[in-house]
Amino acid sequence: MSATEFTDDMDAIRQIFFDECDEQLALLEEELTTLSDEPEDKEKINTIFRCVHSIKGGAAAFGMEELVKFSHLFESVLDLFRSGALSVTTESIATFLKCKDVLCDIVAAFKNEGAACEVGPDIVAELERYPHSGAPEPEPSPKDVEMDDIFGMAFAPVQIKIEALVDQQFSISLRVTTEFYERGDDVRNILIALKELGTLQIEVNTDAVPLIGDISPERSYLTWNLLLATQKSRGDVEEIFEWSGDDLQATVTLIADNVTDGPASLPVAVEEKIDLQIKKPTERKESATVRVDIQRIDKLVDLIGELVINQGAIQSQMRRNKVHGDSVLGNVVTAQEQLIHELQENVITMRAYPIKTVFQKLGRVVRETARLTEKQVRLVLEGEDTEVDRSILEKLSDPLTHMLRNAIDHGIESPQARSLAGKDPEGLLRLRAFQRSGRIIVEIQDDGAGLDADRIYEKAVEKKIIERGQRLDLEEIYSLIFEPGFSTVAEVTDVSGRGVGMDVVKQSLQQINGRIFISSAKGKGTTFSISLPFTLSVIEGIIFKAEGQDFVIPVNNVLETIIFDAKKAFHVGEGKYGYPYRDGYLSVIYASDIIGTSSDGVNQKICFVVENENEEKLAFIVDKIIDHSRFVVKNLEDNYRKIACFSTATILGDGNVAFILDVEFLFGELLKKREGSLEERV
Amino acid sequence: MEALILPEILDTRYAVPFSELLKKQEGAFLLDGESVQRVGGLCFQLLVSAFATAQTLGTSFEIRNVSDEMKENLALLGGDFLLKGEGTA
Repeated sequence: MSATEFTDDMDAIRQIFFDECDEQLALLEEELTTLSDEPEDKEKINTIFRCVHSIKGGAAAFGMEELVKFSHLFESVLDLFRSGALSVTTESIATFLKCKDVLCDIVAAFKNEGAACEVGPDIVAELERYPHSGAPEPEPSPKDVEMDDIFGMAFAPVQIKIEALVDQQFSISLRVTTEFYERGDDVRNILIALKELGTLQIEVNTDAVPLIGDISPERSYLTWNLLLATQKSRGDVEEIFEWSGDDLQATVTLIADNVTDGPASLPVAVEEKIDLQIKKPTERKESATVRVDIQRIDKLVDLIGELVINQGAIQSQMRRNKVHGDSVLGNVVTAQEQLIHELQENVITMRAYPIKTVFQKLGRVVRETARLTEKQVRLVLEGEDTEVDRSILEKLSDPLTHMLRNAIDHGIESPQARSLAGKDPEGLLRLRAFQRSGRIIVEIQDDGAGLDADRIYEKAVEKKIIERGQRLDLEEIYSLIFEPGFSTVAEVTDVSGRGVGMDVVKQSLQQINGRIFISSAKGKGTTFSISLPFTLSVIEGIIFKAEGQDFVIPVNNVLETIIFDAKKAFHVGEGKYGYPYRDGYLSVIYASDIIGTSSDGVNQKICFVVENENEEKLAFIVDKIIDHSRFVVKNLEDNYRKIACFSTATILGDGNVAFILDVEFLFGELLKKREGSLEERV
Repeated sequence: MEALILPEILDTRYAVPFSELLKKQEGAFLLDGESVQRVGGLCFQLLVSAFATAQTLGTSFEIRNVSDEMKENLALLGGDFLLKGEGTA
């Protein structure tokens, strides 16, 4: 193995550790934010403790001293709560959350190799105020630094329970998995910890170890049979294995109480055991998950995209050569299309992450913003398990961060103002995700002062964004906050109000085909709704013809397809046209409008009843429906340029490009701005 | 036969290079443990594997100049048997 390969391997192991840290920190945030709901829940405190302990264990293996020290201090305090010596309060939860933020910072600093990260004295002092946690650590001998850092204080710093000082004998069967080593831990640490509890006899079982020519050096083969004579309780022994999860399989059996002559010899007489297994050997879950480089999945998605395009080409050739779908070849091609469809869905799902990975990071944003603005805010998260494509998720964090800051800084009032208004001094900020009409909706809802439409209007006039006297409906006035340079705040604050925020938010969301809507009630609060696609890679759509060209409309937006009867369309005034639909009427948009051509209307025979996320409907008139299929999405801006009425494009089986319709554009600008020329058509 | 000088730390990160080095020992294993301060589980099982290989092939396995720390670590892992017939420092 070359030095480079060795370094690469180490980098990979280090990366795994950081991935694990991220997972543990996310879990920590999740448990801490819900701790106030169940402060008596022992399992919650145990989970919190285990998160911190796991980070500490890994950090020690990599020599990350600052991380070990701080997590050790944090863990010592948590142990007071775990042991029942202290009860969880709002104040202690606030301290834990601060500690979690500090852990995040230290981990981030180690990630950015060499970036300095000093732990603030305030948080250390806050932790040291807890009884015992400030006790000086025993001076470790230089060679035992790692051992003492990991185990010296972790399990015995504030031992509250009084155990009977009687030796007990435990038989322990120990098996460590390959994953145990992969996450930076070592069986040596477990054995040291056990040895510290009493007298330990150790027998290693080497039967499964292959000869040197066949061994996989990173795989775990060994098992141990241990005999421990100790004054400690079963719980203390159990504790050592507790935080290793399924990566370490241990069976602890109490053999005898009141042992006075040291441990018996191994092996243990099985028939005399009193079975007190703390943990049944868990079934190995080696096949449960596997870490795969995300680039490999991205590549897979791209390749399947090409496969879909190729499938389209085959079907296109079949049509040209008049091969019918019910022929033998047609059946084979249809079966293949179904398989590719399933393959594509599965691969895309592989790239989907729960939105909680973004939501949980926002807890800190809310806490810090609330602190800076001296406001009281309670964040409520809902729908955290809603899954979103990774490429979308990555770009969602920044806009959400900005919007939450804005909601606290500008939306939620000060505790005094809220009290005066008869509201709870603590503001409520609700972050919610759910699926609707094939899209992901993320809502940011506050119960603050609401948007002041008059003030927004005045500011827009002042900033010359609109002319005074210009008639705008409420929704249009709210939308002005997304205009570049718009800000109603007189002073630039540390938090927001730089006047560069919401337009950037809107642009960021547009880049991921997201849209944003506002609803607000004065004095009651504001809700921002962000609508996002599930994936940016593929779209299910209907391909149609208009003026001789092919276009695609997303199928999720098509409520119904009906035959268009031009005679029934009628003029409703101000350049607007209607078409009877069920018991009412729909506004009409002709496909030729989006192309910018004039049409005689003779070929327009199909009416799509189109619905947007606000459940508004319109009639979209096209010439002909070609097919219903899944299309691989190609970004227009990357490959050509942004075109207002199209969100993206796709490559058809014959190699031609078809633009994919931006349905919101139909409801927005086009519906409002189309004029005059339509009159001639009806 | 030249002894393979073992480094101070035989931990997880050393397991892969260590296995490569042991595979090059052509059946007989002569190791020098003078510098060893720490032995982790994965390197320990490589030592066990080398020991088993030597026994199977009828060749030799010897760790000489074993440091106190290495002795302690091997004992902790249940590997005293690896030091039977060890050389002296």
